Amino acid sequence: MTDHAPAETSERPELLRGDAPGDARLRRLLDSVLAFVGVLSTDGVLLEANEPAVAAAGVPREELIGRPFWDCYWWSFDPATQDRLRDAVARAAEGERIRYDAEIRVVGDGRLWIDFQIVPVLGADGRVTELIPSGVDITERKLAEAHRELLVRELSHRVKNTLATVQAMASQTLRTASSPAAFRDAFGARLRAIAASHDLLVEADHSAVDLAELVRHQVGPYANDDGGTLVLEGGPLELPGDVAHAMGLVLHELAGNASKYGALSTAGTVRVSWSRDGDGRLRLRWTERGGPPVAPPERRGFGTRLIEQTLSTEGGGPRFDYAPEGLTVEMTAALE
Amino acid sequence: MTGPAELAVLIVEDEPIIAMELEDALAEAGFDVLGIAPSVAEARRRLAGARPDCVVLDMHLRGETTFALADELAAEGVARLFVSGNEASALPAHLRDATLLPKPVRMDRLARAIAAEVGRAA
Repeated sequence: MTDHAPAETSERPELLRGDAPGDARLRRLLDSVLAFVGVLSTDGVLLEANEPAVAAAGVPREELIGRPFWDCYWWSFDPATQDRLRDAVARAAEGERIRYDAEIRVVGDGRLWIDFQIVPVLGADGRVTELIPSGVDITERKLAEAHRELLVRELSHRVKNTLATVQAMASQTLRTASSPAAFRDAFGARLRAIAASHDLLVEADHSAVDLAELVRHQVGPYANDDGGTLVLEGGPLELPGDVAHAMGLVLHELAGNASKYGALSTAGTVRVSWSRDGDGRLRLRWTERGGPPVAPPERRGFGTRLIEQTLSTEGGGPRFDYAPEGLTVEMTAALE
Repeated sequence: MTGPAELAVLIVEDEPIIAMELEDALAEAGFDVLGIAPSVAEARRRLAGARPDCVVLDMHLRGETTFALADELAAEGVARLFVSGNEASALPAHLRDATLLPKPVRMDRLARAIAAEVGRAA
C-alpha cells in the first residue's frame, strides 16, 4: 500500500468516495491492511482515512475527516511536526513523492514512529487531483536503533576506560620493573589476568562470574607451574562484573607474589576460603602455608596497594598478616 | 600561578590502578596528594578532615556520579576538574563548562590543568 505508483491510481481520482460496488470492495481492502492510508485534497484537507488510521488516533471519525491533515490528532501535538507535514503536503501537491520517518500521536497521547509517504494522484490531464498519505509502524525498528546507539556509546566508554586502565597499569608496572624483560613479563601477565576475567564474564553473558571459577583461572596456573597446591573452600557465589574484574586482578597479584616469594615458590599450599557475611558482603581469606619463612615487606608493592585500593572502603579494609609460617590476607567486598 | 608543591589534591576515582597511577604521577609532579576516594561518601569523609586546593573527579563511580559533589565543591570555592572516559556531553547542562580531560589522560596536561583550575578558583 505504501508503494502506489501514480500511474496506477490515475484512473480513480474519486478513490474511496464512490458508490460503485468496486469502491466498497476497495474500501474493505484498505480497512484490512496493516498500513495507515488516507486521501487528501491538494490543499491538505483529509477526505478519507482507513479504519486502522482512525483506530490509531482513537478519536471519532468526524474529528478527522474534513480537517487540514496537520490539524488532525496524529499530527497536532507538536508545531515542528505540523510544519514539516504542511511542507510535505505542499510539495506533494506540486507532483513530488514525499517519504520520511515521522513520529505521530496515537490513542491516549502515545507516540508511534511510521515510515510515512505522500504520493500525488494525477488526473487524465496530468495534474495532481488528490494526495495519498500512508504509513507503516516502524516503532520497533526505531527502538532497536536507539538501543544500538546506546550500546555503541556504552562500549566506547568501556573501551576508553579499559585503555586508561592499561595505560595506568603499564606506567605502574614500569615504576617497579628492574629491567625491560621484567617489565615485559609482569605487564604481559597482568594483561592476561584482565583478559582471563573478561573471558569469564563474556562466557557468563557479562552478568556475573562464579568465584571458584575465577580463583581457578587466576591462581590455578601458578599452582600447577610450581608444584604447589590450591585448595578452594566456599559455596557457590556469583560476583557482579565489576567486582569480578577487580577481584580477578587482586587474585592474580596474590598468586604472582606467592609464586615468587610465598607458598607457590615451593611445594606449599594456598587455601582460598570465602563466605557471605550477614550484610551480604563477600568475606575472602587467602592463606599460604608450607612456603619459605615470611617477613613483612619493606615497602608497599603494587599488589599490596592494589588490594588496599580495591577493598579500601569495605568493612574496614583488607588485613595482611605476615606470620613467619605464611601470609594471610582477609578481604571484604560488597556484592551489590 | 602557584607552584605544584603547595597544592593539595584529592583524587576521586574508583578504578584502583588508575587511582594509584594518578597518585604516583601527581606526587612526582610535586603535588601533595591527600588521598584517593573511590566513592562520593569516602570523598565527603576526607573533605570533612582536610581542604584540598583541587579535587580530581572521575565522572562515574560504581553506581553513582560525582556531579552533586562537583556542585558542592564549586559552592565552597574548591577547584575541581573531571577526568573521564565519557564525553563532555555526558555532563549535566550546568556543568558543561567544567574542565574535562579525556581518559587516558596525559599527566603533564593534568598537572597544568590543576594549576590553572586553582588559579581560576582563587
